[in-house]
Amino acid sequence: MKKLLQVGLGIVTSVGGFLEIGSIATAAEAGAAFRYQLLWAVLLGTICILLLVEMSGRFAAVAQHTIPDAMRARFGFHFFLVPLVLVLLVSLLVLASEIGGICIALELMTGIHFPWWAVPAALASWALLWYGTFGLIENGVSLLGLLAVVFVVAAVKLGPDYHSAASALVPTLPRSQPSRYWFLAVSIIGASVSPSLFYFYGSGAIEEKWDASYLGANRAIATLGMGFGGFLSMAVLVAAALVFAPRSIQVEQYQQLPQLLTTPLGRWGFWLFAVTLLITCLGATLEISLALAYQVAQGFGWNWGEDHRPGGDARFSLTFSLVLLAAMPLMLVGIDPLKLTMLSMALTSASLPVAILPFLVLMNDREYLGEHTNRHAGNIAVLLISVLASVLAIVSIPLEIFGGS
Amino acid sequence: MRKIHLVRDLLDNQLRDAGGQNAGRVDGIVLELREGEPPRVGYAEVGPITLARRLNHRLGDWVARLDRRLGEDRGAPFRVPISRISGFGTDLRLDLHADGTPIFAVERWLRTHVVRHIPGSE
Amino acid sequence: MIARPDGARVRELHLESMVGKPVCDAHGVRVGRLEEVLAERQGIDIVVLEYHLGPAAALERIIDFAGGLPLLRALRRFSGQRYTVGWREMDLSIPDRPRTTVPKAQLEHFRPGA
Repeated sequence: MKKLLQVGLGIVTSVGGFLEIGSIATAAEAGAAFRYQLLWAVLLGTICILLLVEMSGRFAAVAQHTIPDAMRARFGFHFFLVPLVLVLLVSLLVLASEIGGICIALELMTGIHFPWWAVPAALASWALLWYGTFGLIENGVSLLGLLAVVFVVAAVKLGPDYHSAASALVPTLPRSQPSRYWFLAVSIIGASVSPSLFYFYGSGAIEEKWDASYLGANRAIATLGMGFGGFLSMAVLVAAALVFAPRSIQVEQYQQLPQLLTTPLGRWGFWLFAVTLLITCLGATLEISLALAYQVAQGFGWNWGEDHRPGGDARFSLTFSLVLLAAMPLMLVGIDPLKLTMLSMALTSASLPVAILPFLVLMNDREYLGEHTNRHAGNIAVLLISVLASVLAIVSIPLEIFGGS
Repeated sequence: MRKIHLVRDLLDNQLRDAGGQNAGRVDGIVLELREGEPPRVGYAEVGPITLARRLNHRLGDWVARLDRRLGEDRGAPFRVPISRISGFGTDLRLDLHADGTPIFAVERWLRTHVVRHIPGSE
Repeated sequence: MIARPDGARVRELHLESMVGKPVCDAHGVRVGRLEEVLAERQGIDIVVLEYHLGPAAALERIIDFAGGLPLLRALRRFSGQRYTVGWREMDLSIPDRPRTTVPKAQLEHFRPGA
């Protein structure tokens, strides 16, 4: 019974944690520019993160070690630094985007320009982490994140063509603007498959003291949680296809985003959008800050854990404080949150193999996993998606920035 | 008897102390050489000085200078005799309580000099 | 070098700084990088038996338990020889420049996965 409750809570929090500025912005731009055509990218990203989250939970439950911990032990300190530094740098940009999402939401609500909100947003996030507990953050914020279901309501109300949406789940080549198309595709994948997310999930499993008896629960949470999360992203894309594309509106400014909900839902839609954006981005801010602190602490062998008091784990607590402090200035100086989001999602895609390939080797390690090592299908799927996304990202990012299409 | 692969089973692996808490990682291994005898494993070194030295010797010296400010008898890497470490492989155990040792020197310093000044952190 | 009360002269070496160092043989021919050190418990001591050199030795460290991955198995085939140097055959008097005391051709070697 207790386990069933945990599975339910796990699914709900995973769904709530899935949608954030990255998936909203990438799906909205994709829907506006290419209607349903990029739905396959959401599907591909969802499959990849679903597999990775399941693996990460399985590793924690069976090996009783976290990924960064095992990565340093197996590959040595010098090699470990490569994914550590790269994930840290890219995640800082993503974190700045999430703080930007909170700031945009507050600007929408108050009319006060977003950079003014950078310090209060970062400070409030920090206070929640410093004084809160894992349960409060994970369950509280993510439960509220379920509000994102309004995107499904909006998409349905806009009356989508289900047949052409379904056929867009199979990849097709773009008729025009190829570099924009592939850039959006990799940004969508990067928004779903973030290394900090599956590292975070594994650390959570250790904090919840999972053992091998949780493997079934882990599979259920990963499949249903990430599956429903991907479904929400698809709803955003569909809503954007129906709101923006018919009027030939390109999403170039974040002020346009609320139209996703105001068009189908009217004035209520505006407030629902602002509140949903605020909560989901707050959730993501907390999650990424913790994930990076976990990664550093585990790599250096410190005690870590959100349930410890800061006075008990000073190094860990100061690490997530510094991470927030490092990301916040990007918003303070007024960098366009929407552009930063698109770029950081694409960069996440580009960096995927560096974080994922050593992870895959660990997932096949018998000393850690015994009989619970990966099957070939999982290895191949994750390998292919991450390498493909990376190659496409490396080609399309310069084209997007310097204009190629 | 199982052979020990020092790089795979010891270097960089996580240490857990007698109380079950994370007590750093094996950042360095000291071998002792005697004329005509096979080298013996003497100590495991734990801490930022050894780790920084692996990247760059100057960086290591700089970290050592910083470390010297943390208290008396500081500034040198902390050594654990190898006889106090067991379970070679993925689960290294340290046969002592790390709390009072230099493994937690930085942690203690941060607690008293930084965290204590932030309200509500005790 | 520190003198001990029992008169034995003990010299200390940092294994972590030796890992990855290129090793040459008695004639100055390069053998490979030092990647693994094999030891054994003897009484209360842990004693070094041999050193493993070459990219195959580095790969082996990772593969030992993850040999099920076809990609890694393929990689191992191309990773070349692994050289084994017994503790007597290794001259560590200059820690930064480890040397074997015998020529490369006389070292025990094999191709893992072959």
